Amino acid sequence: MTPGLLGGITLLAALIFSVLGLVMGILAHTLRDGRYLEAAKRLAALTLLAALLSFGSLEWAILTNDFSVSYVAGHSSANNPLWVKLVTPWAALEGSILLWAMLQAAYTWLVSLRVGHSLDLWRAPAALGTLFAVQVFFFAVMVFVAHPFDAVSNPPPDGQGTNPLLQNHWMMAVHPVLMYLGFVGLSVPFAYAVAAMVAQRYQSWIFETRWWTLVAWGFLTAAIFTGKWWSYEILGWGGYWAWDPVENASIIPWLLATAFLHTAQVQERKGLFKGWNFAFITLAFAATVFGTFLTRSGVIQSVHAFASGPVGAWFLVFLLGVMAVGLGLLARVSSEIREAGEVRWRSREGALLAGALFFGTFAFVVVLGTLWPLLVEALSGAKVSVGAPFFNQVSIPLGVFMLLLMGIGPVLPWRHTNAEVVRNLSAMLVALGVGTLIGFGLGLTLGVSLAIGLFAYNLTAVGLMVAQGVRERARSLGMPAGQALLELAASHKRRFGSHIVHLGIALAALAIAFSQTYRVTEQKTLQVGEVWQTRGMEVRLLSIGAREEANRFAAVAPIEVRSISREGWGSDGRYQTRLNFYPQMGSPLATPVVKYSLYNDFYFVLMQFDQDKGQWATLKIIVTPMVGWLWVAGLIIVLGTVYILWPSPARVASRQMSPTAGD
Amino acid sequence: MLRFWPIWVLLLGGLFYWGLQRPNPDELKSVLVGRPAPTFSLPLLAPYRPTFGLEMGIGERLEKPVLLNIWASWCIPCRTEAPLLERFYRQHKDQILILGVNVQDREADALKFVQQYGLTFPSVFDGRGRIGIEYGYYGVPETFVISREGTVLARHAGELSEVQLRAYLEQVLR
Repeated sequence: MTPGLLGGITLLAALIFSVLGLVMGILAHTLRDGRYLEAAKRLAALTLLAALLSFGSLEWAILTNDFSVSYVAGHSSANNPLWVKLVTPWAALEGSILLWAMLQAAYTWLVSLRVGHSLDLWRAPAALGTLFAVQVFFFAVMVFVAHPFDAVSNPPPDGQGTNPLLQNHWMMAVHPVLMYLGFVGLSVPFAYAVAAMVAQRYQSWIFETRWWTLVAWGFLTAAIFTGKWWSYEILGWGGYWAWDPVENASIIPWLLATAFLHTAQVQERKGLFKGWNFAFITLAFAATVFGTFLTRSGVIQSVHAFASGPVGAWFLVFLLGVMAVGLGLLARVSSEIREAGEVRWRSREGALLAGALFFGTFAFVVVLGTLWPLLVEALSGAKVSVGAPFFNQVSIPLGVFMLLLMGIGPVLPWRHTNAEVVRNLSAMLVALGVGTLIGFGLGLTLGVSLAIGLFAYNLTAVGLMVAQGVRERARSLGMPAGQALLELAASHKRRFGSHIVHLGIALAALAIAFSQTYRVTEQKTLQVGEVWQTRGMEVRLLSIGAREEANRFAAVAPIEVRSISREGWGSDGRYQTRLNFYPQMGSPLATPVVKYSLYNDFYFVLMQFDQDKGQWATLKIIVTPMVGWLWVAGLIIVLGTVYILWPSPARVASRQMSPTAGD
Repeated sequence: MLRFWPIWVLLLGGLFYWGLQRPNPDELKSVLVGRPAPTFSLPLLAPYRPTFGLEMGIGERLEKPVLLNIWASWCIPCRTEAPLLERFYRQHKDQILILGVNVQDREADALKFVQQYGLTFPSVFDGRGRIGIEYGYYGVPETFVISREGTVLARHAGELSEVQLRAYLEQVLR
């Protein structure tokens, strides 16, 4: 048995199991017979097993340098270090679809375990059927158009190697997997929504769906932040977000899922916004497919699109199918889910809906900006490009409004506004004003000052909320404040977790404002031994050397940096700036060295060097404030999400996964 | 709105289907290839005026072959391309002229970009999108290779590599 053969057979098996699972789901739904549902559950497990074996075969082929498998010949090399080989499955198109399909099978299996528990027998057939249908698509794409195990008749002695950008930073081992976990994770809420609409049970789906959405959202958030991090540490231009179509593809589902997480609370509590919730979930999942379509079809020009091929048309059909099913069902049930009550704008529900509408608008603007070039070209034939300036201009006001709402929402009560709320809001406004004025006092720009104000405002909001709860509990139960805080945090995980997430977002906004406004770049050609004084630093070029490594060749220019004033504080140290040369790439790949400090980040890039005598090197230094805090903010957001999702002791004891605990 | 969902789906599908059918823009040959390069003259960015005069562009007669490089300060591939172009220009400036055209940009940002990468090859500022009309470029960066006779020899959409630059140089010197 060769890995290619095993992989091919198990891949086909996974497709067949998925088709059978879909059929069983349909039969279970139409005939209302539990036996078909049982069969579907078993098939979910079998598909996962087959998918795991298939993915394992690909790893096996890569680790054993089996270049008779086309994917390995095209995207791996015998010289690659072990960790690069382990991540090579998602270095290119076919392998990444296999990873995707495997994760999809895993999610389907997890959902199948919920059948009979929180997923009732009315909705289960449609939910499983939807997930199997999605799975059929991915396995069929591989079996018919993008087969990872195609055989090479004349195996080459070595493969063509892995994409250098992927090899250049360990983050690439993590980022794509997180992204897929998030993208694929959104298929479960979609399946639950479809099931709810098919079974015409519009309320019960929301509880568990929130939980699943939050799982996917957490992964997406982690993926977006690690992607920014990778882009910052690798691409050598000192930025982390460029509004490239592929980046937009990750932010659109994130925005829509965020909108859902907010409006779902209202449905949970008051039964309102059913239509909105179905729409947000359908669109969020459609957005993941849309993003995949954009990156794999070459329909829009992007810096990191995969090679285009026949898969584009397949993804298009799938995208339209998802949209047709979601919107079609929604149109059918829309008359049944008319809102029973009025939305009160000056209460929590009003703030939540307003927030969700902002997220939705933001998502729409990003979609429009991404598709605009294609739309214009289709209508007029003219080629235009929409760049970062457009997106930055529209996202700043939207972001400010969202930060304002983020503070107000949790402070507003569900019912009527009372005197305490007015006091809290006044305190927050004072914080906003004071923070902004301090910013001005320090001579910062309007935008950055406002960001400081908004940070103080949100900090105050969370502080007031927590203090109020602690005070009430301590007084009524007669316990010390510390104990009251701990007990509250343990019993109101959803509320406390969301406070943590909101703080993370506020910190991220602050870091973005500082880093985007005050980034400076310096560049100079230095002779070996020469000292360059710039931006509060003394930079000495020590030498220039070459280094031969297994998968690449590197030019290394060590530098010594000493801080001489406050601006350069924290930059001290010796750094190995380097240019990596990969055989499969025509031009060298700059590898920045990044030194984080509490305020400024120092970014050293070797741009060029004297190839003949090794006497000079051109260095670029980028100093950006607060980028490190952006990663901290990402971590806080993810930890807050984990905190919400962490099973509480009571729930573990009763072996429940129901998401109804919390506030 | 929702009642008309099939129309929305069809419209989106139609747009993407058209997008897929369209030839790959990276490979698309410009209609200009083999034809005389459209002439233009645009104001130079301030740092180049002492050396090159107030305006520069493509005229009827050229002293040297030209690499017409369209760029913007907000474009990321342009940032990786800029040092490469600069190095190439320093090596080959007696054989070929690199003429940058800054598009869809603010002049202040363009100046910062030029300063940041220490670009010595001249760039003009196209505030009114003239180049877009004359040359029909797809995006930034994009480069047109123009022979000494003023004929467009090639068009390159996207970032250039050193190898491609050398190939274009050989092509114009041939």
